[in-house]
Amino acid sequence: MSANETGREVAQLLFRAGAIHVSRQQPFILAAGWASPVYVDVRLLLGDPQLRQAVSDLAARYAGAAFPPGSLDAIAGAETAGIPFAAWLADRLALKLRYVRKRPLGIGRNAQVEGGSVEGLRVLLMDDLTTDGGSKLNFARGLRAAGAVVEHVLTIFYHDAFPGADARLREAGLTLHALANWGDVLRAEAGSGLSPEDRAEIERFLADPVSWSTRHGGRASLAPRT
Amino acid sequence: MTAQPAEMRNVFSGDEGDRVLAEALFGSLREATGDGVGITREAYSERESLALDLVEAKARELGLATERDAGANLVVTLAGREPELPFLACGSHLDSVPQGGNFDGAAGVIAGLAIIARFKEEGFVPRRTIKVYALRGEESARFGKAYMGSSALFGKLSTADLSVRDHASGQALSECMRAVGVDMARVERAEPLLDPATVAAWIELHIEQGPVLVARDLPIGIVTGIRGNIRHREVECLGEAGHSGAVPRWLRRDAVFATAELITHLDRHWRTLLERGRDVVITAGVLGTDPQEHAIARIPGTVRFSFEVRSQNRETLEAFYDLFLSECGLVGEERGVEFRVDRRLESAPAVMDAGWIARLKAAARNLGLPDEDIPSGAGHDAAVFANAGIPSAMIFVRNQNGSHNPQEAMAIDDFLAGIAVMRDAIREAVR
Ligand SMILES: [Zn+2]
Repeated sequence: MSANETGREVAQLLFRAGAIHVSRQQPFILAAGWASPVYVDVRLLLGDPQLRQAVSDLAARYAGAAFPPGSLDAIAGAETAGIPFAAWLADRLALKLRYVRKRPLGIGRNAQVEGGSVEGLRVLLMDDLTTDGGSKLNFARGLRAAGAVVEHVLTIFYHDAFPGADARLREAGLTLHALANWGDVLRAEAGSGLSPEDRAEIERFLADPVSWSTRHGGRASLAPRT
Repeated sequence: MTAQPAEMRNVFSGDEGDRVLAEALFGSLREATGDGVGITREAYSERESLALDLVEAKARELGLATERDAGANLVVTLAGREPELPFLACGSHLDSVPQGGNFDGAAGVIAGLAIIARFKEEGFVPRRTIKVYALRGEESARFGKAYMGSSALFGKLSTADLSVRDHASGQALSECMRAVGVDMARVERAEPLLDPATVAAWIELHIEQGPVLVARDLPIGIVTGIRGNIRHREVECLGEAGHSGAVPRWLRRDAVFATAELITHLDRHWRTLLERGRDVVITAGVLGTDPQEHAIARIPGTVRFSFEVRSQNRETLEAFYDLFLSECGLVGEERGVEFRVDRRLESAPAVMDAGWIARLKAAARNLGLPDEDIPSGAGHDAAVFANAGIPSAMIFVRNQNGSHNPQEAMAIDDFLAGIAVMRDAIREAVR
């Protein structure tokens, strides 16, 4: 199964879960301050047994193809929504499971990691959503501080509108793998939930996300906050 | 020097008079009400009165009729051909926060004055009378409540509002209003000093107090709506003081830790609401332990802080306020403290008039200026006029460095552009 096909299927699952919200009036303000006409709530895939089985199967199939057998020791779920997805994937691949906190709790090398030592383990970091990659860097730092080898991040959805996440992660020695991104959502066939107006708004946004954000009162440049 | 200012002068032909008037008035206001750091003309203070006097003297010099209304605001009038018609009102406020900027408020008053001064000079007699208001008491810094001047006009100050005391002098709002000449008998009866039916519209120019016009590189913006707010001047977190070394964690009732946790929870709710597309901002701008008793080695028993939530949407305001109260209860239960709130203060969100928005946009386009929408994050007197049922509109002028600080910086050319748009829109409406 090609990455494109996985993307299309995951996009369908997200539509079925009602996880893709489009607003043409009041923008959604994402954590990094960007204004966006779209918001994806990947957590809606958790609730439904069919949807979560389907997405876990797709994740397992993707991981099986992307990572040769024996190249991973553990999956680490990112607090909070990354944890259940990581658990189902670890189950399917018969790998160890850990989870990693947003902040270290207490002191010691392992303060950000739960579920046992990761010393010397090759760990795949799993999360539900990636926007600018900032939180992934933080999770990877926590795992590495505890002795893990972390080279790959797997995310269900990659909000790939704002440039920079890929490069930031690459700079930190991380490769980002996304089951689906905006291209996949737009490729999903008509009638799957996007009205023509919504689709047009998303396309306008994707054509120049920074100026869309600026025009709608969000963050206006890629430069870090001064 | 770039070519741009010269080009702009050509666009707004005849604006030399506006420039001279603006520079003269901003200059004399700065001189008279500067405090060495910024500008101080607090609500219902002598310095505020001084600012009104200066503008009034200038208006008389220009041959315009002036008076003080029952709210002790300055009103400058250009009589219309049909004076029995509801009049068109414009202007803004002349008070400032302590060590504030010179343009916040004053820009709108000067714009109104420049507009009718030019009409008079041209011999243009409008159909309706035009009144320029220099309002008092817009800033909440002194008494915790904003828009006191405009609220008084519509009988909207409660007994509780009027009895709030200024922290510095201990004087009640009602005393300070009386001292500058407000007709307090009527205000205390909550009697409107101005009948909304006699006002055809309220048009207010103001500097933008956020960074959006600068970020979008626009000289002006047309305001679509104004955020309302719910506030407490003081929330008290009551725990128990104790020795910092002797009391174990499980026995502590630490007011600082409880307050910090409350604010962290509110921040999470805020972030979630933004992700779901709600308009909301929250602030705790005043916060502290009591300097009389706080110490490094003492578990703080009391923290006092202010709370403010703002939104364009009334339902979001109420929903966030409910979250605030329920978080106070939950954190209080978990940490053995009690949060006590003082009187709830509120200002309703306001929607600007669609007809006037269209008129201002058309005027901007005709002048070759951008006509883009901008919501107002800060509150303005225009919200009070709008909520009194008067069609209201606002123009924002680009301003660097935010406001409520001495660094606010409006370029005079942007101001002239704003005046030109407002003048053309008003001329069109009162022809
Ligand atoms: Zn103001």
